[in-house]
Amino acid sequence: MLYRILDILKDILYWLFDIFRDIGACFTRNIGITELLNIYWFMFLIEMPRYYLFDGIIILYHKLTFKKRDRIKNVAKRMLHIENPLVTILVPGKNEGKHIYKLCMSLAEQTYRNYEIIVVDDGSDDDTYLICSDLEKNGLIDKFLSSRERGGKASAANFGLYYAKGKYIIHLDADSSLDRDAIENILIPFYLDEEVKGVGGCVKVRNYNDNICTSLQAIEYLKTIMVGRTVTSTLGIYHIISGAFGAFDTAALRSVGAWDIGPGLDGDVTQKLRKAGYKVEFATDAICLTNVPTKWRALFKQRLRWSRSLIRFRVRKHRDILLITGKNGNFLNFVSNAENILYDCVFNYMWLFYILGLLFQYTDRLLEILTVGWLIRLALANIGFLILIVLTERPREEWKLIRFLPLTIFYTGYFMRIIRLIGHTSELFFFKSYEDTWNPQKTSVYARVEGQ
Amino acid sequence: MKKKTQEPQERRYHIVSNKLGRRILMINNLVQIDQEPDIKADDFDAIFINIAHRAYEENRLIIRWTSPIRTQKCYLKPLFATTALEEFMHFAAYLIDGFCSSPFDDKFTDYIETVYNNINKFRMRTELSQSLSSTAKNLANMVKFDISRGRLTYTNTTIRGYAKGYSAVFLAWYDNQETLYHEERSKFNLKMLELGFSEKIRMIDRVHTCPECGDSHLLFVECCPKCKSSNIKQEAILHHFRCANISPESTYQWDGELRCPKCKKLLRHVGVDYDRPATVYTCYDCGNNFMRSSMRVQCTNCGTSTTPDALIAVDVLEYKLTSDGLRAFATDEALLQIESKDIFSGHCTYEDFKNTIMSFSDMPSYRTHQLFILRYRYTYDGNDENLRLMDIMRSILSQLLTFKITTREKEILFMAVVPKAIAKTENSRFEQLINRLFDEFSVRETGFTVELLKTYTFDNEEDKPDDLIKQLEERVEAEPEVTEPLT
Repeated sequence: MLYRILDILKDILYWLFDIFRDIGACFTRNIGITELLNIYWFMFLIEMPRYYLFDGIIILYHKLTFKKRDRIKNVAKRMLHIENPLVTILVPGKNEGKHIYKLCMSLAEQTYRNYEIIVVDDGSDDDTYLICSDLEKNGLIDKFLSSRERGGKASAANFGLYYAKGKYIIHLDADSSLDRDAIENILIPFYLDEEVKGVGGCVKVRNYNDNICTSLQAIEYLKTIMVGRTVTSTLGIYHIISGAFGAFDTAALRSVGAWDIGPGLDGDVTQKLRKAGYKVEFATDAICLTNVPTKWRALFKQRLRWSRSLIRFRVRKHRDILLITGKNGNFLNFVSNAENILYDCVFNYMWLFYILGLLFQYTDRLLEILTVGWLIRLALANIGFLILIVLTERPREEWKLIRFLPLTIFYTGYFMRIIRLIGHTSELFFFKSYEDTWNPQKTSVYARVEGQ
Repeated sequence: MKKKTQEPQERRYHIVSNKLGRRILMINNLVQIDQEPDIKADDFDAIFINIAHRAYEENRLIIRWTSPIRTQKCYLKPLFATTALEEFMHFAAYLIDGFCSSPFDDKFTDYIETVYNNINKFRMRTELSQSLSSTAKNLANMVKFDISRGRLTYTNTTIRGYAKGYSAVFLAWYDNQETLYHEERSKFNLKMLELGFSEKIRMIDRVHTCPECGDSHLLFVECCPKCKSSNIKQEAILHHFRCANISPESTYQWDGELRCPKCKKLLRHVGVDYDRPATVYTCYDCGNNFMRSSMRVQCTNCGTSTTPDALIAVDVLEYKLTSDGLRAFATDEALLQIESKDIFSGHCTYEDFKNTIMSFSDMPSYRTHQLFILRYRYTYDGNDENLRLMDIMRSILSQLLTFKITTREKEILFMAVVPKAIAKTENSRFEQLINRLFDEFSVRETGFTVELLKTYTFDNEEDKPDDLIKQLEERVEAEPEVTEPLT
């Protein structure tokens, strides 16, 4: 018995030694630069230029122009406080009553004071009604609207919008909380450029310490939202104002017909604003913290929904954007959509074939190739992390997340890609998003008929 | 024939006998029975009012002059009126035992017998004592009136126009004057329980009363939670499934059809195309939109506007007179015992007068009121026993029902509860009125002079009752000029 265990241990040790030897071999004689490019072409030609090189350059530019932007920002800030417009904070949601009090408390800390809070209850079946009517009675929220029937998030948001009195609408999720200056910062872009009619806030993860799942999501949010959207916004191809924290010009929002049926209504409304010729911006310094799913299963479902909306809205509903010469043709809009579709959908399928190709082409050296790939990715991830630490306003806290970097390779490199594959395929061929219970069936039926 | 029927009409009253030999006093015109020298109390057994003035005030006057509670000659006697009067009686209907077309009606005949049976059964004293009318006496008389009518329980029913909503029986109707505050009423009820004169039977209701004045005549007004205006309108909200548009129904109105303002599609079928998930109020005064209107409570008595939460709940109980109580009231024994310091108006001893001041400070519904006390000194150069001091007190009390009066060593003290808001004008009005009545009295009663020593005001929130009593005990010399000038 003991011998057998020792035997197995010995086997494992040999195996490990083999790997190390192979890795050593890779760097010494087996793989040259050409072969590396040959094997890891996907990483070097598609991922690296976009996510590391490009991002790095833009963020560097962003950082270098800091002083100039700061000066303009101060002027805009003064203009904001001189005009001091009423801002409507719109919080639609179902069964979110328990979060509302905390949200009100966090709003009470804001540096920008002239706001009204409208909470819309979308047919809740818990104590939301009692909690919110009480808060309304005590003056913590200005307006509490509730509908007896669930109508979907879009209808709830539209309901609130109809009664909004503010010049700007700030759309918030009930479980978000804001930095003290978040409202001020998200409003400033409206004063920087008059054509800006929508501003997205920077959403970060509040429960990043809960477990590995949330920590990985925290890194992902920093990378894709904070860094990614700063980059797209600098280039003028920013394409999604997050539903958790976004600001809109009320009149512009009403003129484009506000929210349509979801899921993915936040991206849709941004597209509509862009199509109407308005600019949308990302406010890197308007920080909103939100809770992310703690269970892999819930995360899986959430991401499936998100990835489906790419097909549903960007490929199907707003396909006219992809035709530059069409009625709604606009080069930047085209680039913003095309980039999104290319990187999230097309290259994802390409990645599938790339992986399959690797499997068949280098079956015997697969372990070696994947390990080396992982090491290269780790190196790149460190560069990416460096970029985000440069950009972030709270580097000390987020620095700690570096210990999860080795795992992010699996998280973004495999887990997310597989979810996206499933999501896109199911939506492309089976229109699965119209069956999502996230939205009530009565409206989804119509959304499909209308091709929304 | 015509002439015969007209003849009695010309007389103001006459007496007829019914088939059982009861003599019925027919009242044909306004007449104050107590002041008629030709008719005695023994001359008739029942009263029939045979006039029908359309004027409510005149009807009330005749009821008052033949009241089985307050007049000496008609005391406890059955009182019927012609059916023509039925619609014009309002409150006074409580004092009338019934309506019939002629005094010989069987209904009336039977009723007379019932009343006399009751009077005999409970061995009731049927004389109204001549002495000063005090609140206690009025109450006792009302109880006696009810006993003679066989009403032994306090049948609490809502009374039209009665501000306390529920009548606590005999306390409720007092010549259309509500002389008791609800604390006083409940204290009276407790006193009756304590003395063993009554017992609780059941609880009827819990009514809500104004926190300021204890009144239950309240208007419940649906209003805007922000500006409290009731100029609000409710509108249904329509949710169009197709495009997630959601707005009030009026925004969908299009040429008689419902058309979505966002996507311009027609709404054809409720539940399929659209539904109505909510209703929203709009305030036409401040422009506010809200889903839950609030409720404002407007007191019709004092004008206070409050919320339903702030109303004071008062239990309405049903009481029944016990056999002890019946005996005590029938023989007027109860009179001394129910004289309570807590009952405000009327004549009382000086001790009770002081007690009232003390208990005034405990009564929350007097918060908005203040006590106004007038202190007079009188001199009389004749024999004190001949002085009919009670006469002047009675005449003052008949004018100022809510006054409490006491006498002590050549001094007369008046006390009134006045709402703070109108205290100044009311106080001077009282002063003038009392002075005038004293003047009239001193003309009749030679050798009687009276002078105002001092006036006091007592505020629940500012002053201490002990201090006031101390001031009242002090000897005061008449001031040459009155502290508060007469206006």
